[in-house]
Order: sequence, then C-alpha cells, then structure tokens
Amino acid sequence: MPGEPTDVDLIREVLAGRVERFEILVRRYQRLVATAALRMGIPRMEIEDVTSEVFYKVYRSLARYRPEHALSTWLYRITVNAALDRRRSTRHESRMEELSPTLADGRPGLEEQAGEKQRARLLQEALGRVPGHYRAPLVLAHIEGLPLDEIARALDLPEGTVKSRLFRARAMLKEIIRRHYPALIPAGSEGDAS
Amino acid sequence: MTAPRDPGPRFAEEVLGSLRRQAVDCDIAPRVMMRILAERDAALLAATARGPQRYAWAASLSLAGASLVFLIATLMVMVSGGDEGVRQATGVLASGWQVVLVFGRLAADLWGRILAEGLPMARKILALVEVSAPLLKGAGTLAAAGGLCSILFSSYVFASARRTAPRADFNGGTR
Repeated sequence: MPGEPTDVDLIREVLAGRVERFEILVRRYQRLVATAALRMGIPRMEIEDVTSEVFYKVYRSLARYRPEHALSTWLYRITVNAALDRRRSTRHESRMEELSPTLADGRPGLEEQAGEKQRARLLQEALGRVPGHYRAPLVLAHIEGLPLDEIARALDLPEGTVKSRLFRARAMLKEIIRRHYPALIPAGSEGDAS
Repeated sequence: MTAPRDPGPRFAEEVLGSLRRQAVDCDIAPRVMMRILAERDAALLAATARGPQRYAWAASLSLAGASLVFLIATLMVMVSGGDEGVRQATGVLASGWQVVLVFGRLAADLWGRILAEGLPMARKILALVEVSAPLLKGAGTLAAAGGLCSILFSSYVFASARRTAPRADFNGGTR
C-alpha cells in the first residue's frame, strides 16, 4: 500500500528508539508466523505463545537483521527454529491436535468443510510423523511456496542439502501416507503409491 | 525409516496443497508490545537508578579522601608548629611505649625463670617414671587380676543365691 512504511524503514525507526513502531511489524507478519508455526506442527493452543516468542526474539536481535534479504525469510527461519525447539522440548510428536483452520477464501459448504477439516487433520498428522529437519523444507517448499534459495536462507543450509532433504522428506511422506493414511493418496497416483 | 524414492514435487503439491488454505488469525501485538515496553521501562529505570548510585559512590570516596588529607595536613601543621597537645600526645605515646617495653622484659624474665627451674624438675619426674615403670606395670596387672577375680566371685555368689532363694508361686505365696 502506498504511503505505508517499509519493513526496513520500520526496523530503522525501532533501532533508533521508537520501539512502539515495532507493533506495525508485528501486525503485518503475525498471521504469517502463526500459520507457519501451525504448519510446522505446533498445536493451536500453543500458537500464540510461539508467535509472541518469535516476535520477541526478532525484537531482541533486530540489530542483526540484514536488509538485503526479505524480513519474511528471517521470520520463517526463527519460526522454524522455535517450532523445532518447542517440539523437541515438549515431545509431543505423536500428539497432534485437531485443527480448525480459518479458510481465507473459497469457503466451501458445511459437509465439504467438515471433509476438508478431517483431511487437513490427517495431513497434519502425517506431516507430524516426518522428522522435524525434513518437515521444515517440506512445509516451506510445498505449503508456504518458498523458492529453493529462500528455503536455504531460512534454514541456514546449502541449497544442495535442502534439495536432498526435500527428496527424502517427500519419499518419507509418501511412505507414511501409503502405510497409515491411504485416504490421503491423490487420485492420480494411487497405483504409484501402493 | 528408509525412503525408497522421491515421488516428485507434483505428489507433494497435490497432497499438501489443501493445507495452503489454512491460516491462523490471532492478535498477539498487544502482548508482545507490553512485554517489550515493560522491558524497555525496566532498562530505563535501571539506567536512571544507576546514575545517582554512581554519583553517591564518587562523592563518598572523594569525601573520604578529602577527610584523610585534611587530617594529615592538620597533624603536620600541629607537629611543625610545636603544638602543646601534640607534644603531650607524643609524651604519652613515648611513656606508653616504655611501659610496654618494661612489661615485655618482665614477662620474658618470668618465662625464662619458669623454664630454668621447671625443666630440671620435669627431667627428674621423667626419670622417676622410667625407673618405676616395671613396678607400675606389675601393680596394674595385679589390679586387673584382682578385678577379674572379684567379678568371678560375685557371679558365683549371685548364682548360688538364685539357687537357694525361696520361689514365689502364682497365688502370692512362697514355696
């Protein structure tokens, strides 16, 4: 939107002492961070805690932000790390909570919505079975839709490593779906999956 | 888990595509800002509190230094000016020192005398103990044997007394 301050401007202002300007950044990116945390397998009841923790960490290390990269990439990085730390500490890999996604657009009918909810829950469960270090590139590439170089920056890994983790993560996901969630196999690849 | 082969990005897109529509709406801005502002206020408070503390320390140290300098200067002026009080104080200190010296000498003499007379006496006692050691050992052995005999005799008497003592029956009488 024209007239709105850019991320870099806001960060400069915060660093110059106008701390209250950080609120604009929080409002601008809280949805992105919260959604990424959810997709990384954080239970909904813990999303707000994780999101505020991420923004607090961002504020504390704001001086280290490099403006040549998008702020969102940096936020993804902190969110992924926070999610992995959280899951490591609480060890709830197996306990996946029911998801009630807020559908942004194309709101389907009630039955379809229930079916989609169920499917999303199962998918989230299946994703939860993929180890964290493989799940992160999978989520960033195929759900968040980030390009490879940005994923590499967000995860602080070489592009080659991200690629190989992606290959392995997709294979793992396919195997998990084939074994435990056959209902999730896409119609076109049923024969291939079995 | 072993992964046989990569099913390709199309598979992942098809499977995970539906999750793209998920979004979380939450408003954590007030919470984050409250925490950040509270931290900033605490830091400011600590910074403002640190200033006066530093000044108080500096002022105390300066005052202490100035007092010391003033005291030394006053004393020097009094000594160099031949002040009566200083002279008296010096006299008291000198006589005090003499008293300490005399008492020290007396104590040293006393200790020396004690040692000179006590040491030969201690040597004699030691020699006496050495001479009488076999006698003492014999006496000790004798006393121990006597004690043992006494215990044995008492046991015998006690046992005999039990044998010959009248017995009480359950009806309160004696047998």
